Amino acid sequence: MTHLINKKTILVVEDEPDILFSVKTFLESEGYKVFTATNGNEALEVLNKFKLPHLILLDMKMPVMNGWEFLRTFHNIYNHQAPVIIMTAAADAEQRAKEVQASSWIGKPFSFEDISEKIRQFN
Amino acid sequence: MDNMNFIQSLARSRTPVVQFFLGLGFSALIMGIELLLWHWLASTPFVILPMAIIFATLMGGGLVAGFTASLTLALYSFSFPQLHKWIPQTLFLLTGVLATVVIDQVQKRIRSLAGAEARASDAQRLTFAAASAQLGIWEWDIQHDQLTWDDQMLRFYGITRESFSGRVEAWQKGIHPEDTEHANHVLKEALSGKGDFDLEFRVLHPTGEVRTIKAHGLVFRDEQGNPTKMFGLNRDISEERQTIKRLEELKAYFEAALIQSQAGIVIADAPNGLLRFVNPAALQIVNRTESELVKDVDISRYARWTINDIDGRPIPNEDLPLARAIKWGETSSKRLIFVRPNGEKRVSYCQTAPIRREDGSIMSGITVIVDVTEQHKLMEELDKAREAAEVAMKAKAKFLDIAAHELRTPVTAASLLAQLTQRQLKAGQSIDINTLNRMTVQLDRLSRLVVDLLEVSKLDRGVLALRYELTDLGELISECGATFRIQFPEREIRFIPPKTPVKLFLDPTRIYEVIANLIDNAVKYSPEYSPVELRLEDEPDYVRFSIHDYGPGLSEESQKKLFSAFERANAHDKSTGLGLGLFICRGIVTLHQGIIGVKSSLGNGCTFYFEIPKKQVLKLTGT
Repeated sequence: MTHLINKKTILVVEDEPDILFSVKTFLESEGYKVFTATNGNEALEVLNKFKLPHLILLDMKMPVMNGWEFLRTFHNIYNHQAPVIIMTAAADAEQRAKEVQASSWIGKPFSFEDISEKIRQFN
Repeated sequence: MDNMNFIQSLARSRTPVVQFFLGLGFSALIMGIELLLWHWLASTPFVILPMAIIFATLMGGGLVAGFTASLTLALYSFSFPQLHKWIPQTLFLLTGVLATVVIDQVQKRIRSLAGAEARASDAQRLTFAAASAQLGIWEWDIQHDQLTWDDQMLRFYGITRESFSGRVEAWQKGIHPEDTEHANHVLKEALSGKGDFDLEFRVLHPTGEVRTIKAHGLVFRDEQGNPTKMFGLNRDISEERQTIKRLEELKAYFEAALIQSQAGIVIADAPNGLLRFVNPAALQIVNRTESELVKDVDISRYARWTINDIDGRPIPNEDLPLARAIKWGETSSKRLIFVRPNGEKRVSYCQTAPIRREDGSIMSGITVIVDVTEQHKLMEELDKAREAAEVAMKAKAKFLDIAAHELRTPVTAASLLAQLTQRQLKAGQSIDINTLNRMTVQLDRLSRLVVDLLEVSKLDRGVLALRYELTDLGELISECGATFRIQFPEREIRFIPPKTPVKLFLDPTRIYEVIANLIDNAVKYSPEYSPVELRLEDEPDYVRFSIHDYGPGLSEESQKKLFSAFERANAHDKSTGLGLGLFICRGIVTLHQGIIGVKSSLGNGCTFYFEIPKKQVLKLTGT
């Protein structure tokens, strides 16, 4: 039980299964508890069911409900209570992050080191 | 003045007959008085009678009166006894005659003096008038050929008083040689009474200077009607003539410019906008030659020209630029549309302005019209081309955006999987074969994307080269079908090959690609238990391949975007690739000069087909 309380939680929202799998595996090996969702809708459900994670890694282009729509709802309901890092292949990543009021961004393709670095900022 | 008139009346001359009777009359009067006053005047005939003759002459107005009175009274004096001797009577008669003559001369002198004075004052007035108007006065005594010129005349002919001969030849010499004949002719006509002396001619000064003179003259005649004298004026109208000539030249220049102008020019007068000048170019714009457009056309009739604004709406007469220029002094530059009788529309650029007098009031309006229909069309086409180019650019930008995104996903996935493997090895764990498999899948996906993108790029640039070969299409289809049967063993892929081989020229690799793409779609979008039917039809001019699936079918809406880049019928479709498949298929079929299409409705599956003509027009650059 204690290790569950000590562990930081991260929600990874990504529709590409291989990426989702890789990131989850890596984060877990780094000692985080990882929740996953394959679209914005699922992500909202996860947030509903479980308590707020320490961090959200969010892909932007997903079916059913994409990153933009998710963030709109997320900011409405949870009001920036958890930092959000958007994972985007867009050329203007920084601009996009500002637009959606994300805390930070990470550009595709990225390495595990990139993720570690970004997460450290929010520890 | 009254004295003058009285004296002048004394000097008045009368006709001989009148004088005779007047002489008799006065004599009778004197005789009568003398008879009446016989007693008192008995001794005074020598005094009274001569006085009476003088009186008679004066009142009679001439020699005849005097002589008549003399004779009468001389005869009468015979009735005086003291005058019976012939010496007194002769003396008396002589005295009478002498007195008469003297008096007559005196009268003549008075007349001429009075005339002279009158003439002098007339002359004064004339000189003054002439000087003010710069007129030269001439007088010609025809009988004695004495020509009199004042100083102004001398100036007009450029000669000095000394060199003036005083005869009519001086005038004739002064005329410009080219005008001499005409001048002399007019003079002749005037002298003979056939016409007035009224002409214009050039004079040539001794210095060579040429001036233009206008001459008027009157002919005086004697009682027989012969010309005795001429009197007249000359006026130097050289400057006038020059000004007129310059004005005419200017007028000619301007008219030529306006008429020759390629731009239409219309000038109308205030206040009613009556058209004063319309050049051929203006009529050409509306392609009419009728004077109906020009004659008596004022603002109320401007509608005859059929002018609309640039949006095609008719313009009321008073709002036309020319009307506004004339009425309000408005200057404008705008495009208008002139409609020709055949309905053709000419777009014209019209510049309009008022023309003002020195005091600022509006005299007329002028409008210059340039036909810009061709340029207008060009501009519209340019606009359309620009729009099309912008749309294309946006589409390409979107394409690149999506392409970039789509490529990064498999790259990211493969990369992360590789990194996982690295970590596993570092941690001393064994490699998960699953991971490597997934990596391979991603890399395949990536490579397919790259190939597709390259094909799209080639199609876009028009450099996709086809390698034509005589191909048995039936065999090609069979091969492709067989490959899919291996890949999807549970699916039923039906194909009945044609009895006779269907051979035609095409690029087998590319067409194989198309067929594969279509079968792949059919398999993907229809239920597993449903069959996929392939068909090949051999028509006279073309061959037709069609593939039918029993899937859900496509709405009309979805069908529209089917063959364009990046559109997937199902937005939630997670199939691999960029959605370029059908786009590429269409590109390849079009290169074969064929057509590709789909027939479908919701709930009734899909039939995709393509047709390739048997005879294709070989392009010069084709291989």
